[in-house]
Amino acid sequence: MTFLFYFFSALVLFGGLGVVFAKNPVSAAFSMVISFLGMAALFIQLDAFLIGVLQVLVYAGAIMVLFLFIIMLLDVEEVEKRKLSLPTVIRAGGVGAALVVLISTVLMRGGTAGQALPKLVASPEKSDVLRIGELLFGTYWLPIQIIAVLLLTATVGVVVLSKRELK
Amino acid sequence: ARLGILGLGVVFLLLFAVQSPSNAASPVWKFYAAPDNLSLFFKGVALLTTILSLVMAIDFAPIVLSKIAPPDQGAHPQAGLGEFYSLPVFVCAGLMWMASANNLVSIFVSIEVVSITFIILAGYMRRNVGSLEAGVKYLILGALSAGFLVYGFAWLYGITGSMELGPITEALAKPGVNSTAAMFAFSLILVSLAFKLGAAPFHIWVPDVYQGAPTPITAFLSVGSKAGAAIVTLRLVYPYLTSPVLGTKALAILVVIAILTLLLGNLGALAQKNLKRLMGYSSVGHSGFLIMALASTSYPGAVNALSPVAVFAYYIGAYLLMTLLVFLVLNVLNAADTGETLDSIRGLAKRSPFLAGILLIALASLAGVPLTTGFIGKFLAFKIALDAGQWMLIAAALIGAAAGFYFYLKIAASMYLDAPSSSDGAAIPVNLLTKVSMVILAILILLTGIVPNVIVKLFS
Amino acid sequence: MDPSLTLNPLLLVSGLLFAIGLTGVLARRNLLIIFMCLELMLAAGNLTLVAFSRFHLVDGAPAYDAHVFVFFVITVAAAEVAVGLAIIIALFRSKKTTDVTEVTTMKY
Repeated sequence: MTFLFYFFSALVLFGGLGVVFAKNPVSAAFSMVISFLGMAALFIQLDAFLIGVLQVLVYAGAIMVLFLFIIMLLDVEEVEKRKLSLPTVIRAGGVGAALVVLISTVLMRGGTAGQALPKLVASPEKSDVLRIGELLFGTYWLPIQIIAVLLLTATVGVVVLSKRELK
Repeated sequence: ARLGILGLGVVFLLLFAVQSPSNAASPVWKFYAAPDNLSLFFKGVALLTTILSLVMAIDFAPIVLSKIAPPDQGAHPQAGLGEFYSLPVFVCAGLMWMASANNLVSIFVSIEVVSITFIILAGYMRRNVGSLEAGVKYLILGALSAGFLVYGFAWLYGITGSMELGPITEALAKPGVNSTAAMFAFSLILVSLAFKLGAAPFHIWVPDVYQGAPTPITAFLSVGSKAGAAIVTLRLVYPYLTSPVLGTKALAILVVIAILTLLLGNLGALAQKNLKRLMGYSSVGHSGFLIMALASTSYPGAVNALSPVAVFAYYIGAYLLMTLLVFLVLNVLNAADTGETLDSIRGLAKRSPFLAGILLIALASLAGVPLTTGFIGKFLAFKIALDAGQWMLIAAALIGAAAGFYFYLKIAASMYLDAPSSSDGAAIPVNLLTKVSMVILAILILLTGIVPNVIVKLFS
Repeated sequence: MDPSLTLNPLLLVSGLLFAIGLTGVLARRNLLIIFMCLELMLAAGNLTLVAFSRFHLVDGAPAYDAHVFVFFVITVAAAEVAVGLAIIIALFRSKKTTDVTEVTTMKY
């Protein structure tokens, strides 16, 4: 069973690396899709079914399609021809490595080390989607309104920024 | 636009009428902190900033228009302006939610409302490349700060196991809390907030975005998003400072950031030509003072008279008055197309003494000349830093203030002493609404300078 | 569900992903790829949230607060992508480049 876990996390990490080191944006987008699918599988393994499905639907489905659409629209020619300039890559790599070291030290010393997987109630009476739905529209009513305003301004913004000539 | 201002004015009046609801503890109010004075004060700040930036937007309209839909395409004269007036109102709503959010989820969501709408506003003038660049830069850094915020919240949630700020404070105060992970979450969140506040190591974006974005948006950005980020920082740093285990470490990080911001912000401004970039560096310097006030929150040990939160809020109030006044004047100059560089305002006094007078008051207050609100703000910040005994911090603040004196008064001097550079000595037209708001702001600056407890009463 | 899965490897995976995203943002110059790496960082945050919620059991079921947070993060990320791409198109239309180095006309 843990083989599956390692397989999916390998998928996620290599997908991520693929995005960073891809030659052209299209292959970056595809490797990102792989990474998101791997992540969705991880979510399912952690019994977060709604989030897993959402991940596939929204991230891999909508956002990546949008990216591909934009890449096609702008027909971004191979701008990345010349080799990545060394200094920036080294600096960025340095920051990334420092972060990884930081995270691993926090994990080693942190109390989260040995927590084995707690037993889950065999079959909770309410399914996880129902629970989240209750929670979402029950106690978290205010953030839902805020999100509505956010999506409104986002759509207004997109229209304002990209319409050819505003009537 | 006038409707927008009217609406906000009414809300501003209602704000004072709101009393804390009878059962603040009922779940309905779970997210909304019982409207204690602090969140009411910050809502007032948000409203005031939005009203003033809308005032600016009105006289900035012709420029924006020319940048969006060049008239030759027969675009309807008011095209694209509707959104330019309505989006700030949404940002104001986001700021007000931010002011009183006490749950990680609503904090994150309201911050995102503000930052995404600002991306649109910054990049609003599509034809002018500068504004687009400002939009792109703000986009990248906004998204980066959102990424850090989510990751920081995830770790915070992991350690404390709850989303509410109340239980989080208790969880962090428990001795058994695993401090490494807690500090890791703290630093992540601090990185994200440092982006928003324009604090030291993450302030590179500030000058470029300030210069690129349209002037009313720069003003709104500099005051609104900073005040919002300030209140959120206050809410998120509070649990860390009060917890005995983490208090000292958190404090040390804050002190370091304050010193860096003070130095980089003020010294950076010395070599600036463009006024808006200069205001960008000055806003970084001022956030340095803000963090200084926060950093000298003497943890439970020492007790001091003036609570740092009061100083923090006072400084933001003062900062709001001064910066908006400068931007009001800048905006009028900009609208009259006299450019933004330093030499464009040489000899302003001879051309339009009214503008020069107003600008002088604002600059004096920014520099911290006595009798103005800026002086009181800086004085209070110095005082609590002294109480908390942060010597390094005070040294940096002194250098910052000295540099501040130099470059603010440099502008004032060039306004009065040099001969007007541009040949046309025509006085710059100022429409009534802006003139009225300028006078009000100037009076407020002087008033709060002389009798500071006007603002202190507001939120104590 | 296998009993042997513990919290740490999960946190390591999401930490690594976050670091990869960060390096990508800093190293790459093509705006689109930077934008993708930003989404990657957000997704790494989601993974950590779900991992923590799985190990913080509330009366037998994973605490769903984190799931709600993840739900909001996904929505915000989608809105951000929409606005971000709109700006990138506008930039591309006016300057014909998505390379970050050319986007620095403002100096003093």
